[in-house]
Amino acid sequence: MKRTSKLVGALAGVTAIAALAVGSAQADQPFELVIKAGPGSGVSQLAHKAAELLPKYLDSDVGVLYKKGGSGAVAQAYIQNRDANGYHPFVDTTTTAIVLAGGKTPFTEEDWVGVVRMQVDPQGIAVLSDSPWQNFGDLVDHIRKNPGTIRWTGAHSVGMDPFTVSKLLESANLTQDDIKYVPSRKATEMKTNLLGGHVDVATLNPGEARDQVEAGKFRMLGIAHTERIATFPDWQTFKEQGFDVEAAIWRGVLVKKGTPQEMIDKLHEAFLKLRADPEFAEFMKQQLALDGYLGGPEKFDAYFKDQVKTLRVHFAPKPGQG
Amino acid sequence: MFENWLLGVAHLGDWQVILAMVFGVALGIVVGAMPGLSGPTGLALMIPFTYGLSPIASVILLISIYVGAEYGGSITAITVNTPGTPSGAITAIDGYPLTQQGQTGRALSMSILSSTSGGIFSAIALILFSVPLAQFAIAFGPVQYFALGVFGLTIVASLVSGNWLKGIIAVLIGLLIQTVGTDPMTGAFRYTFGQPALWEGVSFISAMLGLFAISEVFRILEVGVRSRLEASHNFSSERMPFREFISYWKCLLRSGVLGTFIGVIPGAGAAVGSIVAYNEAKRFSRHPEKFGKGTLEGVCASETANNATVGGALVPLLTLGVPGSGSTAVLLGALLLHNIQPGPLMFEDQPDIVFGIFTALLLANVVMLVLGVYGVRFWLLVVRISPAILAPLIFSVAFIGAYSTGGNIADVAVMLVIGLLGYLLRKFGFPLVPVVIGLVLADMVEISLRRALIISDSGFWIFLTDPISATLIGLAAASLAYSIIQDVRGRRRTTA
Repeated sequence: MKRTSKLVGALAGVTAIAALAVGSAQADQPFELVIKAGPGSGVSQLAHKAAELLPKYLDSDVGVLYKKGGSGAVAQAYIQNRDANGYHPFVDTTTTAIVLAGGKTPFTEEDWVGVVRMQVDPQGIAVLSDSPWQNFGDLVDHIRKNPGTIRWTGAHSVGMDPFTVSKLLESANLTQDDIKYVPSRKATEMKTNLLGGHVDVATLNPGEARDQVEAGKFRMLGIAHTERIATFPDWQTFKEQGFDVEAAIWRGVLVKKGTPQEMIDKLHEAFLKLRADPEFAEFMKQQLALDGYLGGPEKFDAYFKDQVKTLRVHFAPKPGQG
Repeated sequence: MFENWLLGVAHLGDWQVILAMVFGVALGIVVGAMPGLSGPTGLALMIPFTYGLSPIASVILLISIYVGAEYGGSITAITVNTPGTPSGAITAIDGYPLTQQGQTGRALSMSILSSTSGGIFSAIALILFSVPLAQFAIAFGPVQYFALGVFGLTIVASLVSGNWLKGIIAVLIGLLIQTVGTDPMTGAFRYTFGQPALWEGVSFISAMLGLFAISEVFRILEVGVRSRLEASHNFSSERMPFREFISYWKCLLRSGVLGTFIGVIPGAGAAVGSIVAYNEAKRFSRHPEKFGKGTLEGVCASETANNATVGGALVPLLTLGVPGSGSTAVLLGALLLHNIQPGPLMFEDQPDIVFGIFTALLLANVVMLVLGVYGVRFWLLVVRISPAILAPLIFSVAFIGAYSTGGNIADVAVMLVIGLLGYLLRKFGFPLVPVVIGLVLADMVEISLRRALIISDSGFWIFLTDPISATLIGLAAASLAYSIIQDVRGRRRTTA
């Protein structure tokens, strides 16, 4: 009896291994979505959702690979050291455009080809709801009357947040010296510091500020988008308040330069089907992310390269700044 | 409130939920004990497995992992001096000397009992006072964080009594290691030597593994395998009687309160909780001279406090929607995936989830107690493993740990370099724990100092005009003065 059960067990095991082997032989080479951020970040959530739903559109396995380090330089090097066959798509964000514009990596935007932009997250600014400022104009008036007193926080001192802050100040004919810019590292830091009154203004995306706005703690003074967003129709854009500023974080897919066009098209096609998937739509709603689709791969590629060039000009040391 | 509670408790009748809790705590203990796998990583790895579970079962699974992980770090800290978590490094200060004296069983019993007490204490504090505690959380801005960091650094004074210079050098080494990377304010690179791998600085896990695990392997290699083998024969598996444990009530209560409050402050975390509680335990102790040489009080303080930070860290998450620690940040992401939005509205919109979490937190601690008490006899076996097997085991676990955190081979190289440094420091009699304290606090101290000075209109005076900051700085000065006086007195007595 005992021997039979062992035999059955062994047989089952062998069958399982054989089934696995056959299964993997039939499948195509697996895709590896490379990300540079840690678990829990917005881009890792996007990559995991994509890895979960993409296999049926790509006809092969899809995994997620974390390559942290060097603000994405490690992930960039990992992909650039592999064949340009499209099996290691870089699921990435605006940060890479900033890093490339900074010119500190061995790579430039020409080493990459944009495939598809999946999400945009417009920049916005929030204040405490009991503050006297009802819109961005009120804040600008206050800054003009009391230069150098407003404590304004944003993520890091180089990147999308300080870029947005300087564009907003510029649009109101103010300069960096008119405020105290306090670099934070994460949205959560900005939120606690704003809640506790340690800063006056925080640079937050709608998704980051949503909960506190709904609970009546924060007020959104404006969002840097072309039009109002559907989920929060009463949030004014800066544009309609007379300040011509648009700035958004994007999340999308890049591949190594030299990847065959049919592979780029195949990936683009699959992500387009992903975008139409009801389960993915539900995920987008939860993340409060806006659809970022721009058109075919060439549209996103041009947008990406253009952004890097704009940021490069912005970051370049200005004459007289050492 | 009572009917909400019933709603929450009703969830716990589900077998899925109970299973999730037991499995979660067990997994958490393993994750905590494994160097390189920390609470946040363990949580992140489990998120995909929660897709099929009900929201409440997922939340309970993840919270149980978090609870277990804070305890698990002490097991490897006590048995092999390779802390699995940053706060485990504080437990190792006294836990490992106890092992060397053959008291592993007592140290492990103390660890599980005080972890449970700390966890339950902070869970009760969370349930009763979460709303007023949330006010305390947001009272901490850059000014107050700097003062807290300075307060934490003063522990070094009490750790290195009699060896001032070496202690201070060790802290400075820790602070120096943390300056590598990108300047948090200007984005400039510091000490990166043109290596992209160093842009984000030295990974904390690599530094810890290098300092403790790798340097221990080098030491075993040097001492030779035979000597350790003989030493490990005469150890006792005696566990601690419960009555003796109760006699530590003062330490438990003090560390529980400190751990809870520090947990509430976003970003301070379990390691800071352990550091401060350890420092206070030594100051209030009748035998401060025994600290660092193997006293159960030290294990008690560190372990009570780090588990107490769990309940504390949930306060800002649940009431403000702002995570207070790495683990709660991942927890927040997982909650959002299940359409649970923590924050001010949660108590009104989803009271059953809130009270489910409260009840689960209490029960997870009980589950941990059972698993931990029965586990002691297995973990004791670790001490009996021959160094000939242990050394390569620690070595390979350290390699996997350093690599797996970011999938970056450079982290392994960094670990080896720091391992060599740790070995040299040990060899020349420098204490390692001040290095860890420097590592843990450097970031907080630097960033909050620089931010506070941007905000301040009165320069450095802001630290003395703010009441919270002034109190903390005052306590730091007093704590420093006290240990200097103790030290001088102790020396006079010995020379007289």
